[in-house]
Amino acid sequence: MKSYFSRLAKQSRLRYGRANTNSPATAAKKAFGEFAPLHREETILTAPDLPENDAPVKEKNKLLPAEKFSPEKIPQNFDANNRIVHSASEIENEISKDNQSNAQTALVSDALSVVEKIVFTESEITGERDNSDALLNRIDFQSEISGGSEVKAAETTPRQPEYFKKTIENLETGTADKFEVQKNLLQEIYEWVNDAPAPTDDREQTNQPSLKQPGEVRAVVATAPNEEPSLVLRDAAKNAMGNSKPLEEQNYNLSIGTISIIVEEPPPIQNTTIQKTAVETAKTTTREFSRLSRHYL
Amino acid sequence: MNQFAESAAIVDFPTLPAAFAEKFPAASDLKFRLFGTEESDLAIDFSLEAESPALVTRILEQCAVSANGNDLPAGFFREMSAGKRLECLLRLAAGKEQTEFSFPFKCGSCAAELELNLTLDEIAEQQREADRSEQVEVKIAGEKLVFRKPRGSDQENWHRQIFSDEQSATRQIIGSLQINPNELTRHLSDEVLPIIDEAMDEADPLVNFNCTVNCAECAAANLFEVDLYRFALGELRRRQWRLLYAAHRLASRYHWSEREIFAVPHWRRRQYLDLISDEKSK
Repeated sequence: MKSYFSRLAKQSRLRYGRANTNSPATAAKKAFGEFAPLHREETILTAPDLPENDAPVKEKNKLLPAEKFSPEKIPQNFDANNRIVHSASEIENEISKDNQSNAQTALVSDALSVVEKIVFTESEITGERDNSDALLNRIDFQSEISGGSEVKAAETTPRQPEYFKKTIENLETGTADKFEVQKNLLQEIYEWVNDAPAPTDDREQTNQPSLKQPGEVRAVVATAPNEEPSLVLRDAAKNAMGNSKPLEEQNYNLSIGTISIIVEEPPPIQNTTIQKTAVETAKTTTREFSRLSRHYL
Repeated sequence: MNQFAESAAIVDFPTLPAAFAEKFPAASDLKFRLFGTEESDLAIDFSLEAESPALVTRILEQCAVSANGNDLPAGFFREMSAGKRLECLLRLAAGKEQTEFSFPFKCGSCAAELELNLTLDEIAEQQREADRSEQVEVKIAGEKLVFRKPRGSDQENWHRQIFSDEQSATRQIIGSLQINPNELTRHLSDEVLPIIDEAMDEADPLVNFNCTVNCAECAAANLFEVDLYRFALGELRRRQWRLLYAAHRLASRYHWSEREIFAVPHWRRRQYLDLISDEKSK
């Protein structure tokens, strides 16, 4: 006859055994030793600071243009084409190490796939206030996401003289007659044409710091190892490697990541095929097959 | 029609002990909906590994419905005595149509096949009698030991522990049930254990249900004992299987998904099943 407590124990599904030895966890410990704590991979999604702190950013933008873009404060990082180069020390070191060999170009172009560089033209900065504010936002934002990588303001050139000022003045006031207006206009056109920059490399003439010197190359480096670069300016790197071509145009390349191209070997020629076919096959298979084919109209 | 049919899946809740009803006044209007009528009943794992006091609590909680739409009080079934929980389980196992359970067995003397019929009322009466006393008093060596009846929460706690053997488990269970622990119960002798066991058995009869049945053939007295807990769970498992089979038949015939099948009320599902049966019989 079953006792009350044994029935109760059965209904309660009691477990028997030595608590220290028979539990599954203890058995596993015996067999495999102490387990390392479970690795937990956490992905924390953070919104960019700009929309979150909208008001502070606006306040900051009010102060920044006067503070950061005064000519005294930004003397170094303008290149010959009046571009501000923002860079980080990592790419600088990388370039200076390999500056001697011809393989540098390839190395840097490889490095460019993991390094983010941003070059802003003068027009973006010296243009309208709003544009420079937006630019500052971008600079600050890049600085923040790069985890403290240095963003240097570069030397800026003095403002261009205002042209056609006299003509505008004459037209607005209406004091001058037609002949005088035409004369002033021609004169100012002449001045404007004469003041146009020469098509040669201005860096040598103006003694602006050149990007050739590796110590002056800066790149904003994405500090997070898995971050893909989003903006790459290859011209900056080429200049850094001694390429004498001036940076004449603003060239933003948006990197979309690596494209793997699989080159397939030609299919093996069967022995049973006739010789002619084999020769034809050999001819046709001298080309490398590629799965990547694009057609541009 | 709808309300009537819906109420067909509802059964009465066992009468609660007075003290317990006072503790949970919100449970005064509780009813049981039949197990094996809703989709959530399919989620109950009746395997031996999953079987535990917590599983019983879950079954009872998901079948309890309030006539006035009140929420089930927290810890209601965990605070209930093991015997009362067992009565509730049997109530669900019986369903709407069943009013008694049959337990076939053989006479220990002449091997004649016997059958014990135990009605729900008889079970309820036994438990009602037991509910009159909440405490169990045992006198040992002139000392009065007072125990309370085990609850669902006790069973869940014991299930979480690992005991070295049954004897040790019994001592620990007795120790946890004693209201006035003293030196005697800290060092219970083997002779004392059966006395306490017998007193608890008498006070809480459904946990270790047993009765004496006289054989109709040889008039020998047979001690019949049954684990009503396992019996009730077995019945509920069969109800779950019937539900699964009904879903299978409806899905096969009408190509409904499980969700669509259980969106149909229980009473209408039965009508569809009757129609399917009629079609097959023609």
